[in-house]
Amino acid sequence: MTATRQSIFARLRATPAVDWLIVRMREAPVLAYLVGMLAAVGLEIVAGRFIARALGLRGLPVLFGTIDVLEHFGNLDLSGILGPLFPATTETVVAPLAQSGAALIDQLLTFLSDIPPALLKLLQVTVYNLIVFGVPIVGLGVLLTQPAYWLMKRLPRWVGMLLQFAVLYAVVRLWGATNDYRGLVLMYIGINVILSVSLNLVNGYMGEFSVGHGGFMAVGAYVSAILTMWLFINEDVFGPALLPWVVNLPLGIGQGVGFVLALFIGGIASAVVSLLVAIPSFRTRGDYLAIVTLALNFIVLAAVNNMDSIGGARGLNGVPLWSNVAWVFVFAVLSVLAVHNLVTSTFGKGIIAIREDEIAADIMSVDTKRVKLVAFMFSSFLAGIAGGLFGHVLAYVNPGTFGILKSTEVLVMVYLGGMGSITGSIVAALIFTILLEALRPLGVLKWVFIPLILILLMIYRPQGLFGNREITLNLGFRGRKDEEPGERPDREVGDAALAD
Amino acid sequence: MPLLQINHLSHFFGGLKAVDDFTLTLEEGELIGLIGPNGAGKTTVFNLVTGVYKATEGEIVYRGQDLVGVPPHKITGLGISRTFQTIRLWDQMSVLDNMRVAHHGQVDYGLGGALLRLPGYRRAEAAITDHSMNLLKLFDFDRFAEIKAGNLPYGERRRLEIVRAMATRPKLLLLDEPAAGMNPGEIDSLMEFIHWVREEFDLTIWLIEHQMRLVMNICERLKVIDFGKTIAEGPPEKVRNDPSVLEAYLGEQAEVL
Repeated sequence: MTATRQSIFARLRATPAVDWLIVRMREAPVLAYLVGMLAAVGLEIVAGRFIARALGLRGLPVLFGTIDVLEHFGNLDLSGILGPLFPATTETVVAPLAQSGAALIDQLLTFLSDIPPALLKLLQVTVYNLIVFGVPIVGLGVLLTQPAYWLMKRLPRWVGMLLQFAVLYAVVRLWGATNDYRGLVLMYIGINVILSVSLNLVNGYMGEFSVGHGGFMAVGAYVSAILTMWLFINEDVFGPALLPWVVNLPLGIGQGVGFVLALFIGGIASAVVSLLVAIPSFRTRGDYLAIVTLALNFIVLAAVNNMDSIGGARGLNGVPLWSNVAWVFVFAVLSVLAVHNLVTSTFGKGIIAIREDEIAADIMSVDTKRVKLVAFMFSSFLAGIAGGLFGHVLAYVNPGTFGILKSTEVLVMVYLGGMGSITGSIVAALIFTILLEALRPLGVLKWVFIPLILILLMIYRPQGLFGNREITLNLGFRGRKDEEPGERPDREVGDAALAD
Repeated sequence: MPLLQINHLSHFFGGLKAVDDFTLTLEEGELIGLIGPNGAGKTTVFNLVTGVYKATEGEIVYRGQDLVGVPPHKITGLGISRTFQTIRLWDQMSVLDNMRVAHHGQVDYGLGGALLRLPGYRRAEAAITDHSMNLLKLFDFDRFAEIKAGNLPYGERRRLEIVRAMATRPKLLLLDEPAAGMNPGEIDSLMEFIHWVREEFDLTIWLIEHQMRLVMNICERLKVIDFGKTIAEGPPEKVRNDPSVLEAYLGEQAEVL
């Protein structure tokens, strides 16, 4: 099965035209692709609806058509099958069984009848995605290769980086602008990027096993939400704002100042809570941290559930809607850069050394206790920030959101992307968030598919999508002398050279 | 003042006395060997000196400072470095990164410096990378700088561990079975290598070894322990013919014959 599939790919790869394209695509720097994405998003805004109609779609495919395809299966209902098996009275067995069987056949027929329209839709959205995204991105990426190199070679390094982030932001912003729902998904993606990258620091780079990221998120969410409500706005829970003048600062910067302040304090609170866990846990190695972080997740939620002054189990209503795509983008980028800077510094390499061999790290002058604490607290700090952003998305925080399910989602993203790969975590956060949204039409069945995906992943690719490797981004700085000292991706090329 | 003075050092694992009343004076510039049969407690002595274990009894005085209870990274900072019986490189990291992490004790920027890449961070990183690369060049490892340590051949891995230990700028180097798994030819070059390192860096070296050829040829003084107890010490020629040493290694004479 795999052999034939590989040979098809190999045959495709051997075609001169495809080979030419792949070589050109490898050559193209990130900036060229980003410009391509910008063009694609622009094209969608201008002609997306027209193209979609022409292809027979009802409207613009919201998340690359994933929802459009899966919504055909939306009327599957397995409760009709399991329900009769647990009758209220245990008088008969036969009738409920027959009922279940009938329901099963019924659902099977529904499923089968759903397949053809779903396949048609799949074809339609694939063509749509190719026209609107595939062609402009690949085409402009290849066409703009030389101009992009030309530009990147002449710009100072930081200007080049800033330019790329600016174009990326424009892409994100324009893509999200067509539809409110897209904006929401973008915010979830950004928040999930922060969460998965930060958990990867502990589970991937440090090799410890923390499973209670939801708990740290909850601390950040509640602390920052309480702060913004209590200090900056008038609402019903805490009454009039304590420091209303902050929000009234000139030029409209007040809200930003207040929000950032609240987020940071939320993050710091989360880091402080993590310290309480870390001090006893890091005395030993291994599963201990997993148990303690799991317990902490429950403790935090139990504490919140029992605090009536902040809403208890009902949740906290009236949180200002201060999160937006821009803020989430900024914090996601900063988090990624921060973790990247950390793990490429000598200080941060000490974290990886602890994973590889803790005794050797200790003997080679790494203050392992301190490094572990710093890494764990920093990870929790970022989780707290992500929680704060999350709390300000829906104007409502409630303890149920930050349960073990949330923690598991973050774990899944880390393992999907690969332990110790920042780019892996980012891609996984992107894929997983879209997947969660796309599977929404399936209702409860979503929670059958997601564990199934995880199981398949563990069987066929236990190291995650990217293992502990990074996708080497071709930033177009090639041939420049001012490469930073710490920034050497672990290249496989060197290993190949040794084998020669 | 001796470089290292160990007085009546004892260590228990539960009821097992792994090291029993171990005493040693190590003068600056010496090259001495610690030998003994398997399970004699040699590595435990190294673990006690480097702080991996905390001694149950006795004192370890290094340049006038008691090391008992001092955490390992601080002991390394004072100028004691070591290699391990089983190679403990960080396999998934590049050779250069292995070297850089060994400078961890010299990192003078904090988390903020690393995150924001402040000037102090850049200076410190440049110095660390320079020192690492210089050492790698000196030991002819620079061509491997970008290769993962785990992908090097065995002999190179053993040597890299010594190079990495040198990155912590030690005065005293403890080598735990540096010749383990080497053939006679490799042992010859290892002996030269140890001599050369000692001259080049003005080191005091204390090594554990089973390969008698190496021990007898390069050590100026030997200490033999068995079941945690010192059974002989002195120059190699004297130890070689000591009846209690022969007994410890080969069993009682009557049984041998």
